Order: sequence, then C-alpha cells, then structure tokens
Amino acid sequence: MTKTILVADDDDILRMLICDTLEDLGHDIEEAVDGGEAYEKLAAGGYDAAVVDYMMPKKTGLEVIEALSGDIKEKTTIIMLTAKAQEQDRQAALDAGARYFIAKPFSPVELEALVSDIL
Amino acid sequence: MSRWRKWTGTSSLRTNYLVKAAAFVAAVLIIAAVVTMYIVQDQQTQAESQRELVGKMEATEDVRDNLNRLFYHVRSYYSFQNETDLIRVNGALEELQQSIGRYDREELNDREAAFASNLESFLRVYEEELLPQAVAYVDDNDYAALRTYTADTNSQIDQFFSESEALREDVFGQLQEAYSSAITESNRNIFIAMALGAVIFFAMIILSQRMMKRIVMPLEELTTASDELAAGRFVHVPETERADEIGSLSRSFANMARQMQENEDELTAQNEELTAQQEMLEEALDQTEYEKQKIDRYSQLNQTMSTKLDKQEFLNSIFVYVNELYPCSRSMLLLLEEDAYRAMGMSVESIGRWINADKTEWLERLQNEPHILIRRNASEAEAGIAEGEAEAVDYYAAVRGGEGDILGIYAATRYGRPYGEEEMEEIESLLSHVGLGLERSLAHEEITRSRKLSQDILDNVNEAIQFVDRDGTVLQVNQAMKKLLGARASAPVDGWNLRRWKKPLLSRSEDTEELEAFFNWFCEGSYEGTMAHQFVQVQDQERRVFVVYGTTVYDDSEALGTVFVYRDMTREYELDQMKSELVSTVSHELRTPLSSVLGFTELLLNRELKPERQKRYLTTIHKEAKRLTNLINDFLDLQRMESGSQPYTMEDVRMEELVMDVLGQFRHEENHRLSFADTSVSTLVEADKERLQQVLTNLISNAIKFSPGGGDVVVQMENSTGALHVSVKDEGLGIPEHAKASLFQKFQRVDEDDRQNIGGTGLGLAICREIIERHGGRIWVESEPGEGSVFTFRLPLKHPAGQGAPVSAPAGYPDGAAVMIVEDDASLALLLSEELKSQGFQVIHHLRPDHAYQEILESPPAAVVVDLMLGEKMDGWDLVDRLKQHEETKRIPIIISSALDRSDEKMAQYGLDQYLTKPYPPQDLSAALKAYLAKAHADGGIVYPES
Repeated sequence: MTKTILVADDDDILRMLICDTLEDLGHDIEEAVDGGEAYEKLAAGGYDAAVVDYMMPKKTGLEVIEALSGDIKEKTTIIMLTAKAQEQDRQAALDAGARYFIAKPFSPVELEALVSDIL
Repeated sequence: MSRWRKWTGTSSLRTNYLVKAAAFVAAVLIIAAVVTMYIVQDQQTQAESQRELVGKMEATEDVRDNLNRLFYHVRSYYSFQNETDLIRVNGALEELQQSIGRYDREELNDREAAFASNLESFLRVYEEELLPQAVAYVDDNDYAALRTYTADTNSQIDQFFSESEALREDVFGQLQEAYSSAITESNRNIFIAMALGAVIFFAMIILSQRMMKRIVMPLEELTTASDELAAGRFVHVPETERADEIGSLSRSFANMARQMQENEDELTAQNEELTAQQEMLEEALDQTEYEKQKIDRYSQLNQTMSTKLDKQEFLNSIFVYVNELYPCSRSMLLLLEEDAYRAMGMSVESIGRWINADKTEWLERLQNEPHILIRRNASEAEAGIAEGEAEAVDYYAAVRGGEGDILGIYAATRYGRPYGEEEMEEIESLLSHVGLGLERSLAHEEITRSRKLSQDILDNVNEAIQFVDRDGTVLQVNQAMKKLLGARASAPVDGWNLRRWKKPLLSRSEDTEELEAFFNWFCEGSYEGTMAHQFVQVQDQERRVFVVYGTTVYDDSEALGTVFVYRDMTREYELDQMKSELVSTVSHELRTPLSSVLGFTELLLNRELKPERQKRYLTTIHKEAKRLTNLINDFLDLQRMESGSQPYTMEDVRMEELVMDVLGQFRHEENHRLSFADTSVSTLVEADKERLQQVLTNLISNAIKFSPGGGDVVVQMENSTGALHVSVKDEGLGIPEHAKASLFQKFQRVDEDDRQNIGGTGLGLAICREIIERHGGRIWVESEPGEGSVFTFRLPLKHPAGQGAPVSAPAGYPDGAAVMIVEDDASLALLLSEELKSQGFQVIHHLRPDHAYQEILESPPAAVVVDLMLGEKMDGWDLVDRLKQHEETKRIPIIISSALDRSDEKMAQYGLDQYLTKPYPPQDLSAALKAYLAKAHADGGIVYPES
C-alpha cells in the first residue's frame, strides 16, 4: 500500500538523499524546502509520515510541530531530524509531538528501516 | 512754700529784676500821665478862650451887619416908601436887638459893655421915637424935615457902626494873639514830651548797665572759669557774698572747682603709684615672656618631633632649637645608627674626625654618666682676642632611646662661660625627649613604609579588594575597588558604611536581591567562612560579569570582618559563551554536508544502483566533501586569524597590480562583465599580498554569486585622504537593511528566499573583515535590495603624502578623460594604465572585448585602446568592427595596441591612424592620445581619425 510522506529539509542534497532513500520503498514523496512550506503542507493533511529537519529557515522543525493541531499529529507520524543531538532538544521535540528522533549524520538504512516499521 | 519764697525772697534774681522793672515802668507811666494831663488842660484852656473870642467876634459882626441892614432898609423905605421895606426894617430892628442880646451874653470888657448899653438905649429911642417920627415924615412926604430929623440919627448910627467895626477889629486882634500864644504853648509841650522821652531812655540805659554788671558779667566770668576748668587749668573763683542765684552759682562753682582740683591732685598721686606698679609688672611680664618663649620652643620642638618624619629635617629642627635655647660657640648633633648629623661653627675636618672617631669609650662613659664635661684652656685660635688664658668647656650628652640605648651624641663647646648644672639637666632632659621622638618617627616611618607597600601591592592587583569590619564599614580598599564603586581614585572610601558602598554595586547589578543577600550574610553576622557569588554589572550599556569571594577574617578566634575580592570574569564568561555557540554552529554546519557524504556512501554500499545514479551520488559526495573541506579551511583560517597566530608577511603592494591579477582569475566568467575603473593616483600599500588577494577574490566571487541574473561587476579604485578605497560593485540581489549590521560576523548568512540555493560557509566576509582590520583598514557595505551591493575596503597608504602629487588632467578634461583599455594581459594592461594615469587620464580596464563593447555602448569613453589578440568568441578587430558600425560609437577614437604587425589594409578599412606594435614605450600611447584630444579641442570639435 502506497503511503504519502513529506520530506522537509532546507539542504537540497540532504533532501535528495532522504527522498531517494524513501522512494525506493515505493512511497509517494513530497518535498518542502523550508519550515513555512512544511507547515502549510502538513496542516493541509493527507500525510502518513513526515521527516522534518530541525534547523530550517522561516520556521524551525520544532515550531512546525508545535503549530500543528493534535489531530494532524495523530494521523501523521513525525520523525525529527537534527544535528542537535543534545538530550534537551530531543525531549523538546518529543514533547511537542514528534514520535521519533534521528540525529545527523544519519544512516539512510536506519531511516529506511524506521519508516518501514512505522508504515 | 519754698517755691513761693523763691519767687518773693530778696535773694531771688528774678524778683529783684521784676521789682526794679515794675518800679521803673510805674515811674515812667506817672510822669507821662502828668505831662499829658498838663498839656491837654493847657490846650483846652486855649481852645476855650479862642472859642469865646470867635463867638464874641461873630456877635460883634452880627450886631454890625444887622445895624447895617437896618439902615439899609430904612433908607430904602425913605426912598421908595415901600411898605415891605418898613416890614423889613422892623424885622432888622428885631434881629438887631436879638444880636445885641447875644452880644451881651459874651464876656465883655468895659468898652464893649458901654457900646452895648449905648446901642441898646439908642435903639429903644429909635424904635419908640425916632422911627415913628421919621415914618410920619415919610408919610407926609416931608423929606426936608426928615432929612433934618434924621441927620442926627444918621450920625449916631454911623458912630455906632464905626464903634462896632472898631470892636470887631479889637476882638480879631485878640483872637490873633490867642492863636500865636497857642502855637507857642504847643511847641513848649512837644519840647517837654521829648525831654521826658530822653530822660526815660537814659534811665533805661543806666538800668541795663546795672543789670549787666549784676548778672551778665558774673556769668561771663563763670563761663570763662568753667572753660578754663574744662581745659584742665587751675581756676581761682573769687568768693562772693551775693545772695541771689549768681551768688550761689559762683559759690557752688568755686566749690566744684576746688573739689576737682583736689580730686585731680589725688588722681595724679594715684597715677604715679600705678606707673610705678606697671613698671614692676612689665618686668615680671618680660620674665614671663621669656619663660613662655622657652615653653613655646619646647612645644615647637615637641611638634617637630611628632610631625617631622624625614630624619634630616627632624635633626635640623632639633639642632636649631637646642642652639637657640642653650647658645654655644660650636656644636654638633650626630645620630649614630643613621649617620646623619648637623653641625655649627665646626670645620669639615673636625666634623669628619668626630664622625669617624672610635667612640666606644665615649659611649661607655655616657652609658654611666649623664654627661661628659671637659674643661681646658682654649687654643690660640679659639681664644681669639681674649687676653691671658681663656677657658673652654666641651660638653657631651647622649640622645637616649626608650630603653636607655644611645641613639646619638650632642657635643658643644663654650668659651669662658661654663655650663651650669641646671642648664645641663635641662639639655639632657630635652635630649631624652628628642630620643623618644626620634624613635617614634623611625617607627612611624617604618609603619608608613610597610603600609604603603601593602597598599601598593593591593592597588596593583587586578581584582577589586575590599576589607570591611563586622558591621560592613569599609576599612580598606584598593584602586580597582574604587573603580568598581565608581569613586574617584583620590576619593576616600574608608569609613563608608554598608549601605553606602552597597548602593553603587546594587544599582548596577542585574540580580540585585541575590547580591544584597550575599553581602548581608557576611555583614550582618549571620555567616562566617568563605563563599562566592557571581553577578553582572551593567555600566554604560556594557555587561561585565563578576565573581565576588567573601572570606571572614579572624584575629585568633575572633572575627574581625570580611574581605571581599571581586574578580572580573567577563572575558572568561564571554569566551565560554563564544565557545559553546561555536560548538553548536560548527556542529550544525559540519554535520549537514557530513550527513550527505555518509548517507550517499551508505546508499552506494547497500544498494544495487544504476550507473548513472551511482555517478550522481559520487559527484554529490565529492561536492559535499569539497564543501566540507572549504568550510574547515575557512574556519581554521578564521580561528588562526582571530587568535593572532596567522602570520602576515607585509610587503609593498601595488594595489592595481593585485586587482589585475585577481580579475585575471575571473576572465572566463560568462554571465558577468568584469571591469576595473581606476582613478587612483597613489596605490602603494603595505600588506600581505596573499591575504589581500583572498579578500578581493572573496568579494568578487560573492558579487558574482549573489547576482544570479548577471550584470556588471566593477572593481573601482580611488584615493581619499591618506588612504586607498577599493570597492566591488555588483548589480545583484542586494542586502536587506536588517542584515547589514551582522553581515561581517561568522556564520551569518542572509536568510532570504532569493538566495537559498546559493551556497557558502558564512565565513567569507568575516575573514575579509579580519584581514582588512589587521591591515589597519576598514570594510563596509552599501546596498539596496534588488539593486546590487558595493563592498568597499579602505587601506592606509604607505606614503600618505608626497607620493602621487596631483597630475594635471588633459586639456579640456578637467576631471580626467576616461580611457578604456581592452587587454587580457594583466601586466601589459597595468603598464598602459600606469602611463595613462600619470598623464591624468582615468582608466577603465576590460579583459574581454564583448564586455568592453557593452560598456562602451552604455557609457562611451574618450578613447579606446584595443589589443587585437583576445578571446575565443570575439577578437579585437571584431570590437573595432562593431564600434565602427554603430552610429553612436563610430566616432570614438580607437588605438590599436598589438603584438601583430600593422595591417594597412584594416587600418584603411576602419580609418585608423594609430597602430602601436608591441612592445612599444608606453609614452607613445599617451602621446598619441593627447595629440588626438588636443586636436579635437583646438578645432572646437571632435576630430576623428578617419576625417
């Protein structure tokens, strides 16, 4: 069954890496280049999962999640991606409604496995 | 009663005067009344007799007139026989009788009385006999009888008439006489009155003189006497027996004068006694004064001993005092330990001898004896003019310290006049004071020195140190503490209470309550020990982080107070902040490309991928790895620069050379037209060439990177006072206002949509700024979003003045004519540019003919210098061709500068007449240009090569 996943990262290359990784699983992938776009797309609904970078222009990943309604967070599994690996950042993201947390540099294989598990 | 007596008593001057005055006035009045009465009576008598005479005369005249009228009427009747006349005759007769009657009443003498009675009897006869007879004659008209009859009568009447006239004359004579006698009388009366006045006047004068004698003269005498008395002269007042006021005044005055005289005598006597006493007192006072001076000297000495801290000064003062109090011919005061001395009347040799003498024996003697006294004969020199044998006395006494140890020796010599026991005792007790004072001053000096030393040490410590007592009152602070309290360096802070010193600290503190609690723990006795507290002070908008350590100070086991040490931790704090910020930023900046590298590698390793995808991934990995390398390089560069460990190799750099070199690196740039507009005169700077190249490369590549739509990138160079400005101008995205301030900081990138895909480390401009500032310059940006940006840096010139004296611009081009050089060889372009600039031209340099052509169209220069061998797309001839074809540019003079041989064919084709074959001396170029421009100007128009 095909799922729809949003990939939000301002870095083109990383975004390409994530998209390529997840496309191979056979899912529909959509992209967002900054926090603003990510929020608009997620708020519109229809995503099963989302990979959201923490450091993005306009809105940080954390701000995006905090702004989303509980309903959306219920339906969309959010995976937070960040270079900030400190425990307090992780906790803030989880508190806001992120389900999973992946620290940069990350392994595409692990991401693949995680997304497969979730969906 | 007494008052009354005063008024009436014979002795009263006033009464006396009143009585005399009254008597005088009464006498005058009486005399005046008598005389007046006499005169009045006399005048009345005279007036009476005169009136009588007048009456008699009038009566006489009446009788005469009536008589006359009677006979006038009688005759008229006789003549005209008119009855009315007869009536008038009877009337006149009657009136005559009446007037005779009035006449009779007057006082008459004999003759008059006879006349009156004769006339009366005649009239009776006339009336009764004569007149009726006469009337009868008239009635009978018997005038002859009548005439006879009346002849007698008429004569009688005539007699009467003449008698009456005579009587009147007589009375008149009497009246005249009476008048003249009246005048005589009145003259006499006037004389009497005047005589009386004179008498009164003399009487008054006499009276006044008497008054004067009685009253005024004694008063005058008294006045003179009192004046004399007042002037202090001896006065004798004659005794007087007078009973009136003058008398008593004189007596009392005499009394008073006598008493005063007596008093004065007494006073004089007392005064003499006093003068004698005063002389005695003055003597005593002199004695006291001398004692006082002595005491003063002692107290001055004491003062000196307690205030003079400098040894030599101390010694000098004491020496002077001792010699003043106990004079001698020569003396010396020597301090043993200190080797300080003061001498008087002694030669240098003898001073030296005494200082260097072995004084062990002397000291031993002085330990046991209060003094040493040596009597000897004075030497020849000492004796001076003394005859016979003169005696000299040498006196030695010790200056003793508190424990009896000898600090110094006082030695003095006297000739002829020995030292008395009392005097010596005084000197020795004085010297023992001196010893104590000296010891005290030495101790004080030592304490002051060590105190100053500790304060100096404290003041040289960076930390602010403050020692307060248990209540928090300041006992001691160092300079750093004063600064922290905001007090002036010279202000006394000791003694400030807790409230006072806490206030400036708290008012500038960010966490007032915690800091106050910290101070209060120590200063309110609730805490003892050591504790630290960190706080922030904000002053002049600068935040400084302090840590204060408080430690209780004990004397044995008793707490004395607290020492607070304030350490400024701002730098450490900031470094710490910066470090953690840096770690966070770097970790983010590094992790992002690292993630890509690792991720794609993992995909390559774990997946079966098509070759093209493999290539794409490998390219990406390579690109990201390079980005990572650049980032690390930039980052390390910056760290090195900031830490100051980056070595700079300073050398003379000609800036235009450097710009040409860097521009040369970008010659293959397709989308941007790079050019170099150089209007500078001096370009020599002292710089690290490689670093400046790095700056310029950074700025130009930024200009290209941030103008994705292409456009001009112009490097401009010009001089300002003592400096060179180099700017890089683009027509790109520009920089929003809010980003300008932080633009030159590390990892700062403009966060806008339009430049999201433009990569970079965010370190380039930070590196530029670091380099330029290390060169003593400044870098800044001017920009308008959407219009482009101008980054300018300013470097100080190596020879700010002297070099590059202003050159005159070519004729007709006061601001310098712009000449464009189209040349790809940087060194040749530089050579030409130098030459043209030295002639006052402005130079615009283009590397590529296509870019040059674009710019010529936009802003035509005064002339174009073209190299023929240029790029692949377009060569020099192409440029010339295009310029000549275009209407607006075909008149611009063109000079060919080429390594190729001259082509006459092409020259003719384009009508060019200057062809410079490389290598040629650069002057040729400027000469050719100047010739062109001068010609153009002389003809008043533009001269073109082809015409």
